[in-house]
Amino acid sequence: MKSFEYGDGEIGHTEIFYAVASMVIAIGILNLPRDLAQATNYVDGVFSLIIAGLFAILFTWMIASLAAKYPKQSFYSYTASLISRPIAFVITLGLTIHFLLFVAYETRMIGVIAAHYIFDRTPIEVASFSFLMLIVYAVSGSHVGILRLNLMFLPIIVLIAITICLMNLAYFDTENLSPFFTTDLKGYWKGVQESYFSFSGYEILLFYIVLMNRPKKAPKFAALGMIIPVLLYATFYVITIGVFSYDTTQTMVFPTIELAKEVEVPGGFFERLESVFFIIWIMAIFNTAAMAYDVSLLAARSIFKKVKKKTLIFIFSPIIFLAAMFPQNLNEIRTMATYISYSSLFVVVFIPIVLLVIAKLRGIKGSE
Amino acid sequence: MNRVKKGFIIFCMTLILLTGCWDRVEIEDRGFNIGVAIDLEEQRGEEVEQPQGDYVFKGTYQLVVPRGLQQGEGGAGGATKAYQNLVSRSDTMFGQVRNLAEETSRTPFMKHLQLIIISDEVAKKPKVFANILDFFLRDHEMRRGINVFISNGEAGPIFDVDPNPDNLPVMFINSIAENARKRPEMLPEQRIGDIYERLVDHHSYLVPQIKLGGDNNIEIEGAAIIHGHNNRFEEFITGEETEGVRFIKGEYDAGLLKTMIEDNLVVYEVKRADSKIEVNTEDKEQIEFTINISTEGNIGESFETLDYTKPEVMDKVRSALEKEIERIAQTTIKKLHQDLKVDALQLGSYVERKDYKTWKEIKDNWDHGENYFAKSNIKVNAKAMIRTSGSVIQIEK
Repeated sequence: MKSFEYGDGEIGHTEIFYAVASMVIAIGILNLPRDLAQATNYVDGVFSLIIAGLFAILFTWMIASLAAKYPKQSFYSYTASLISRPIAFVITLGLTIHFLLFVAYETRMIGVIAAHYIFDRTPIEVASFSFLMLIVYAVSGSHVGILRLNLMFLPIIVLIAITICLMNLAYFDTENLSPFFTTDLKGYWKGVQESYFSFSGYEILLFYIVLMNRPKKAPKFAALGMIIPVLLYATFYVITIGVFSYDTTQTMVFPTIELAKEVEVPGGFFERLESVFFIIWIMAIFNTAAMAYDVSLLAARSIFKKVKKKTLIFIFSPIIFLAAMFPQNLNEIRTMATYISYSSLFVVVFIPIVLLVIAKLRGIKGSE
Repeated sequence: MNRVKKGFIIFCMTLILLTGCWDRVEIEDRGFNIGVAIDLEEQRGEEVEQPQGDYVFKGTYQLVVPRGLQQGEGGAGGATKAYQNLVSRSDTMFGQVRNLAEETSRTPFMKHLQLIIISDEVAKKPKVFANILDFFLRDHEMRRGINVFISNGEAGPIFDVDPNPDNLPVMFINSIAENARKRPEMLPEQRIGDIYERLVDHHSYLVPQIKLGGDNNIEIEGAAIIHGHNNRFEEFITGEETEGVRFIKGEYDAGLLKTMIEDNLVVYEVKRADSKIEVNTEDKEQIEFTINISTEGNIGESFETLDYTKPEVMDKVRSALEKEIERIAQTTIKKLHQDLKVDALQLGSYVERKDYKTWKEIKDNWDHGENYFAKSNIKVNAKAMIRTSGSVIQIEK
């Protein structure tokens, strides 16, 4: 018997691997170098980044093993069996809102970046709205469709991102990296926090592992998937510091975009490499936002079983758009991002630990 | 609802999209701005109510006229110029660019800006150099590869230089600037991105000098010293001093050195040069720098008849060359270290990397105030390696 077939509603471990990587690569890469350079000296931030990455990999593994314990059961159903129905209801509703805010944030940022760098006079509202419509179209289809799109997009994204890094080696100055280890412990810790926030998003695993046909392998592949963004972000950070030096990185709004603008390939289309960068970056955001929206629908439908998916989309989309347009300026958007990051931390650390402990105590075993 | 009706409604809705794109500008309507030259117009005196800067700048903006580019190939010399220079006056750069729109039929488009020339008079005012660059760094249309020069004398007229055999003066200047690889008296191009790093970290730095020569020619040689703590232009250094800077910083690409052996000239072609700078920070009042310059090259020309197969001859030539390199480097050091006391060589960054603790203490008084830089000692050692004597050993016997 074949373990996996296209066309059915199930996914394999490859999809999980790609989903985690695609979900995490998003807005974070744009301003992470700045936040990290503000917290740490010279290239020391990369150590913070790797420590935060290890935490993220650990949590990914934890979440995936929690969800894999209960194959073919939705988050709501096994949570309800562990900690009563009302509490499970509240948690699932909270997760729905969390993911909706996630989509709102991505939608707003795409509008901000597009309006600033690409469309000078197009209102942010219009850019964000068109993007949101695209997401709505994506989530109207099947869950598996979105997950399989990752398989196509992620290699392109990673390839172009690495190309941009390599092109910048011409401007890379090793002198900007040293001296090493000049940051104090407080700085490192702040750096860990800042970088950890840019790794959020893998809480989608709580809902996507249900779709897997053989969830046993999920923890391993989810953790492997997390390694991609960690390595990619670390590479970008080192290159950014080497090219701009850390003082300058601190003063830029989006150092990574400046990095893409730094490259000038003589002649023709690729002279402006940032255009290619924007393409892959928008692809990355599209994947992230589509998955986040899709997961919020999965969560909502597990608690409101009678409501149709289309109806939920009609209710959620205006909410997302309004939430996206709520912050007035870049600083407020950042505050919004910080709140989302905190709630993500709560979701990935607190909930799984509590659930795992309760499962152990009450001896409720999944069908392992 | 049947399909025809549905289709009709969707068709009507797509009409909304036809209202068009906000950002559409036809390429024919864009005025491609490739160069900016900034001069000082006047100093503001009396107080007025509206906010205004201390100085009014005169900006000369070079716009490309594509029609002229095509005709240039036909050979009708000077019929239509391929460029148009527009002058705009304002106390801010943004204001200048906006004013341009009044003068030209095309919308100024800055994405292809390649060159900024700032006159020495402007750069002499404290902080103004940085203020001018602010707009060019902040605006999203600008890129980080724009070359920056400081002009000796007025900047605007440089854009009227005869660009033969090119079409555009700005491109002409940029092509000359690229020759720094061959001419050690020229400072390598400074991109606005490099200068941005210096504005942030407050190290002193050098910007290439440009000036209008006698016959409407331009000369790019030497450099302007900018003091890091207030971004004020201090003084120009000569071509030879620039050569020394390039030796010391290891930015020397290729060039030639002359030396006298027994009253006759011997020319050494430098193929490769490198420098290593060591720093001793034990006493912060007397930081010691040791600069080791090493070069590699061939004998390019020899007026003195010498048998280059003999090791003792080679040694003699080599030590003469080493003295010459040391002399050049010392001239530069004398100017920057003893006369001006400005660390345009960025030796401070070596202290920063070697001994971060000491650097934190002294960095605010590095090359101004208490000026630890002036108190430091700088030693130079040079090494010249002669790989071959060219195709012949000697042409006479």
